[in-house]
Formats: sequence, C-alpha cells, structure tokens
Amino acid sequence: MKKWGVLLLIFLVFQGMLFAEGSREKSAPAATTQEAYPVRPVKLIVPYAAGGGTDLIGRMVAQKLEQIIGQPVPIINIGGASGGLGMQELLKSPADGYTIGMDIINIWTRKALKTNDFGPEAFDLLAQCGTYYLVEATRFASPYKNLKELAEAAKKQPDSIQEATNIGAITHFTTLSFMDATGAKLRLVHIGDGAQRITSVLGGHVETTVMGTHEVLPYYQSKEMRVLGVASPKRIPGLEDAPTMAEQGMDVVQPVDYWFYMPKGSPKEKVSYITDALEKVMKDPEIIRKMSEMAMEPSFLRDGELLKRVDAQGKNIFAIAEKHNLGKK
Amino acid sequence: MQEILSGFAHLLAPLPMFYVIIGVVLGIIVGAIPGLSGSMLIALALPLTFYMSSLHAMDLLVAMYVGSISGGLITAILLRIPGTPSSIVTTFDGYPMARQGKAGRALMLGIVSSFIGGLVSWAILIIAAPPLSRFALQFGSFEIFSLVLAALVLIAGMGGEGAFFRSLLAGFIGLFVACPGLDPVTSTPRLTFGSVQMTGGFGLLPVLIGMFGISQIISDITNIEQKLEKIPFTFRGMFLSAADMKKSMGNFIRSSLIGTWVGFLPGIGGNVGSIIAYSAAQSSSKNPEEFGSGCDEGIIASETANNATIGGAFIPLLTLGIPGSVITAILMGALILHDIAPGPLLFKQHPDIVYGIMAVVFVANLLMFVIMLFASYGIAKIIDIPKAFMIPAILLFCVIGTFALNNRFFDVWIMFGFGLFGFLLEKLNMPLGPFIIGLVLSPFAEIHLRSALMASGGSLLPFVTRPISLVFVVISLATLAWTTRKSLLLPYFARRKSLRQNKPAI
Repeated sequence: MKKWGVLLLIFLVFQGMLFAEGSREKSAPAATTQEAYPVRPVKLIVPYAAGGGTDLIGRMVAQKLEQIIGQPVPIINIGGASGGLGMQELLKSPADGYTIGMDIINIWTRKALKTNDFGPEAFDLLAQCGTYYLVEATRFASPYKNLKELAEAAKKQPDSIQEATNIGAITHFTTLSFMDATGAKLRLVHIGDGAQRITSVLGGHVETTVMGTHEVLPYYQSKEMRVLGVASPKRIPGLEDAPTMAEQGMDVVQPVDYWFYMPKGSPKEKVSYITDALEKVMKDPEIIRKMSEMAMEPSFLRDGELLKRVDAQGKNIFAIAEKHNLGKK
Repeated sequence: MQEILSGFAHLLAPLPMFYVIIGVVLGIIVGAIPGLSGSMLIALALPLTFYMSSLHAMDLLVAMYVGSISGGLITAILLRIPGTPSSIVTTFDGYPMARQGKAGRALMLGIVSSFIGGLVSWAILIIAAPPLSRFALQFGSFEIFSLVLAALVLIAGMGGEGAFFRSLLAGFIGLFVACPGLDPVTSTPRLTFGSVQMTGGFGLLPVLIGMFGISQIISDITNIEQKLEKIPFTFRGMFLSAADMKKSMGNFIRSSLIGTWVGFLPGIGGNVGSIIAYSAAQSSSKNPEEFGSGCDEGIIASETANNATIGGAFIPLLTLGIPGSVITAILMGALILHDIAPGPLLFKQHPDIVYGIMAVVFVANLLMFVIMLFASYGIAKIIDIPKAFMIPAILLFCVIGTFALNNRFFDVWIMFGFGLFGFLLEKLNMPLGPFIIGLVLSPFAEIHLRSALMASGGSLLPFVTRPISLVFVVISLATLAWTTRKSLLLPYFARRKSLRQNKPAI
C-alpha cells in the first residue's frame, strides 16, 4: 500500500514537471494592436552567473527599467558555456515581448569558434546600453612603461614575456590584434577569468594581461597596476594618464558593448516599446554616474546605427579568427 | 582595533541584529535543503537590499553566507544528501556515524567544527588579511596543481581494503564525467555530441544531487516495505568531552588553516577545501582505515575546513577586490551596486564596510553555533520521519533546487540520469568517495596543469624546482607509495602466502 502511495506521489511530481515545461513552450497568443503591454513581469535573461560584470549591468538596467515600464523585471541567470546556454534559452523563448536577454561580444566569439551556430542575427536587436574598452595592463613595478617598450622587448626575445589570457574569449582576440599590429610575440598563458588574471599579474606569475577598464580601475588608482595602452578611440575619463593604443601607433580598438535582444519575430510595437524604455534608462543620471565611476561609457545605440556597429564588430572578430585559425577542427 | 570595535558596535542596534539573525536562519535552512544553495539565496535576496543601507545589506548577505555553509551538514549527516556541495565529504563519515545510532554526536561534531573553523579563519582575517593576501599571491598554477594532485592521489586508498581497483575506476569515472562541456582552455566544445545543451557540461550540483539524493531515493523505494531496524536517535556521546577536544586539536587547527588557504585561492570554494582537509586528515591520521566508516576525524576535517573557507574567501575580497568563491563574487557585485568599489583601496575608502563585514562574520558564526546547538535535537528527529513522507518532499526539493540553480530543465534530467547511475554504482559496490573527488578536483587539476605547462613552455621541471610545489609533489608520491603498498602489495603477498600454505591440503 505504502509503495503505491509513494509511486503515485512521484508520478504526480513528474506530471507537475512535464506540465511546467510544456507550458513554457506554449505559443504566445497573437498580439493585437490594442493589447496592453506589459501586463506581467518581463524576464531578463543574463547568460552569466550572478555576480559577474554583465550580471551587474543587467541588474542596474533592470532596476531602472522596472520603474519605467511599471512591471517587475526579474533577472534570470543562465550561466555556462561562456554565455551560450543563456542565449540558447532566449532563442527558444516565446517571441511575445515578455522575455529579453543581454550579452556582450561573446555572442560573436562563440559563433567564430563554432561553439554556437547563431549570432546576433538570430534575435531582434533592441539596444546597446553601455560600453567598456579593453586595456593592456601590467604590474606597477613592471619594467615596461608603455606598449612600445613591451612590443620592442617582445620582439627582441619572442615568446618569453608571459601574457595571461582567457583563450577563446574577447581578451584573447584583443591580445592577438595587438600582436598582429606590432609584430611582437608574447607567450600566451591561459589563466581564466578576470579575477584569476588579476591575481596572476599581481602575484608576478605573468607579466601582462588584457582587462576591462572597469576591472583595472581600482588597481590603477591604488598604483598596483599600470595601464600600458587602452584599446579605445580616445582616453577614458578616470584613466586619463593611460595612453590609447592609437596614440602609440597601433591600430587596435576593442570595445565591449552590452547588447539587449528579444527572440526573433517579437511584435514590432513591443520591441520599440522596450527599446524606448531602455533609452530612458540610459538617460537616467544615476546610471550615467554609476557607469562613469566604473570607467565605462554610458553609450546608447538603436536601430540602424546599432546594426552597423554589431556587424562591424562581428566582421572584426571573424577576421581575427580566420587569420589565427581559431575555431577550425 | 578601534575600527573593529565600531564594526561590532553597529551590530548592537536592533535592525542590523535582526538582519543577521534572519540571514543566519535562512542560510541554515537553505543550506540544509539539498539543491538550494547559499549563492541562490544571496542572489535572490540581492534586489531586496537595494532599499537598505550598504552596511545593512552586507549584514544580511554575509550572515546568509555563513548560515548556508553551515546548514549543509544537517542533511549530509542525517540523510546522506549533502545540503550544499561544501558538505559532500561530511557524508562520508557523518552518515555512517548516524546509522550507528550516534546521530547526535555526529551533528554536534559538525556544529562544533563549523564554529571552530569559522572562528580560526575569522581570526586570520582580522589579524593577517593584508600581509597574508600579498604572500598568498605567490601561489600560482604550479602550486595549485601540486596541491590538488596531493588530494587526487588519495582516490586509490579511499574505498578501503581490497577496493584498490574499484576506487581507481570510480575516480576515473568521476574525472570522465567532468570532461564534457567547453574545453576550459580552448573554449571549443568537447564530448558534447553536437548538443548545445551539453556545452554547459554536467553541472556539479545536478550530478551531486542525483548521485546522493536521487540514488538514495531509488534505493529506499526498492525496499520500502522492508522493515528497517529502527535506529533511535540518541544523545549517546553527544557531549564532547575535554579529552575529545584535546585529541582533535591538531585536526581542528590543520583543517582550519587548509580551509582558510583554499578559500583564498580564486575560483575554488568550500567543497575543495573540505576535500583537501579530509585527505590531509586521513593521511596524517593514526587510524586512516577508520575513515569512511563513521569516525570523528572525518567529520571534523570536512566541517572545520568548509566554514574556514568563508574567512579565507573574504581576505582577497576585502584587500584586493578579488572574489575567492562563488558567493563572494556575488557579494562583490552587491558592493558595486551599493556604490562601493571593491579593490585595494577599500580599507582606506570604506573602513566602516570592511570592519562591519569582519564583525558580521564573527557574530554570524556565533549565532549559527547557538541556533544549530539548540535546534539540533529537533533537527535530528528528521531521522524518525517515515520514509514514505520524506521521499516525496526530498524529491520535490531536489527538482526545484536543481532547476533554480541555472533556470534550465536540462539540469533536472542530468540529475535523474545520475540518480540512476549512482544507484547502479552502489549496487556494483563502487565507492562514491573517489568518484566525487575525481569529479570535483579534476577540472582544477586540468586547468592549472595546462596553464602551468603553457607558462613553462611544456617543461615539467618547475613542478619540482618551485619549493611550495615540490612539497606537495613529495606528499603526493609518499601517499601513492603508501597506498600502493597497503592496498595492493600487502594483500597480494598475503594471498600468495595463504595459497602456498593451503596447497598441501588440497
């Protein structure tokens, strides 16, 4: 008797699970022009674990977005596979305007490395909300004071100066661009994510690494790290002493933008409604102040300009991958 | 000193104290429920803290951290299902001890160990954080690999007498299960068979919940009508004597130091800390064969070390702005959202936050100890609840927790798959310990070995020329030699001898 009771309960739990999954994939009712929107919470899929840089920006934006659209914007963290799993989930989500997602340039690097077979074109692009640039940094006590010195030393003794990197990620692509632009050859050492690369530079295990402006800022201020060059068109407020790579004669510019998406085929009026709301978010003085304090640029782009930027960055990534045989079997 | 006192002083107000108590209690509950983890709780609570002052937000979140790491021991000991990954190793000895009718003692050992581990690492945090953080930066890939190797080597001896090959096999299966996903170095898919879902690999938590939770449920169901001999909950040996404490003093200190140290290393959390402390306790024990059968030392090592990782993880967060664990990464995000930039200047710019956090770590540990102490009798009654009521509840939490981890249903299927797999392994008498160690440690071993070889240009020499690394390599070799002799050679000679003696009798 007892056995059957347990089996029944387990059966019910299974049923509940199947129901829960089934209802998620139910197709959305056809949208009419009069439909009030949004009438329920709008999910924001962040394809990285809670606590990371993208999650942080997602939370800042979501908090303001809630106030503007009058509905909660819960963050759904779906981490893993350097963003691929979360974006895969967004791809499968109903195009009813109640799921949005965000990603950085990893969406292009994953496609270039053939980890995913989709890029930004598989979604409806909403907006770009914020940008940071990448920098080449070293310990403050390092003998190299700028990129030229580093490049020269690396040319004299190729494959001896160690650079901490995260192979396959945008930091790796940026190091490759720098080496291509100067002909210098650094020894790449895969160390992993930002925190681990910072540790390895501070601990003197490697000489240099590529980091985001927001990541290097605290160590720049405490004079523990030196920024050899910034891959940006002009100097960054907060890192004024750090020269750009262009100033040092290297044609390397590598921004990392936060791009927001909806599943392909979402109703046009909902796409523009959320895009308008995001535009308001990026005009909020608090967002502008917070991003600036983190040495980020509170940039905003939409529609044609956004498409152009996204495409240009994709082309750049694919060109680097092609040149260095990345993603080939 | 004054700053520390003012850090404590702020907790005397009713509101912060309330947050700390709420945080610890919620943390313990979530920690005890398999599948629900501290990082989940803290991420969920994060939006609530937007409306609090930054110091109060830290009071709540840090208290949750301490509670969640401690709560995991309850289910690990009573049900053999680790509430959090940090308590995996606690199941090895905690559950056997509970089955021997000493659930009270097992719980008490766990609680006392958690408290001591928390306190020691807290003391290290306040006394030595800045100098230690500089020194600990010397630990590079070579050292981390050798450290992990020393723990991996233990796989061979874990299954006990006569299980040498089975232990190795289980360890390799664990290692293999850790392989699919994105290659950690090249970021290209590995063993994913073209499935995008598989590029995430087998998540640690879904596999653990499957192997421990679901497989236990399956085996319970298969013999649910069979009347188990009732194991009454007793207070036998519950109160630790001064002699107990004195005997384990070395273990407490060693495990605390290991936990603090591992907590410091970026990207490695409480689960690795407790595994390494467990292996260190076993290799330095006088009775290593008792490990896994319900000995005090195993519980002490595991629970001391996992709580000690908390203080350790705060050292790099507060002094360098580098998170030492998953949860401290979320705490770092919380600080930034509260307009406080973590980094080397945190001590200078926001001493109130730094010393406030230090005070909370202490008070939360104290509260955790008191709450768990008083609640342990009630908690231990779980063991008396009929299985028919327990199983559906556990199953429900396993499913919810696994799904909530990453908001992916795929993880739930992984959990069920490994539930079945774990059940089969146990039927085949394969030890789970080596499997878990292989699974948890091999990703670290892999990535640090490959990093190290990239740095040295393919040369293995630095592993023995760098002094810290050399120490661990020597320990690994010694453990290996000792295990091989004891588990492989001695039984072999004994068998041969007995065969020879028996021959004339045929």
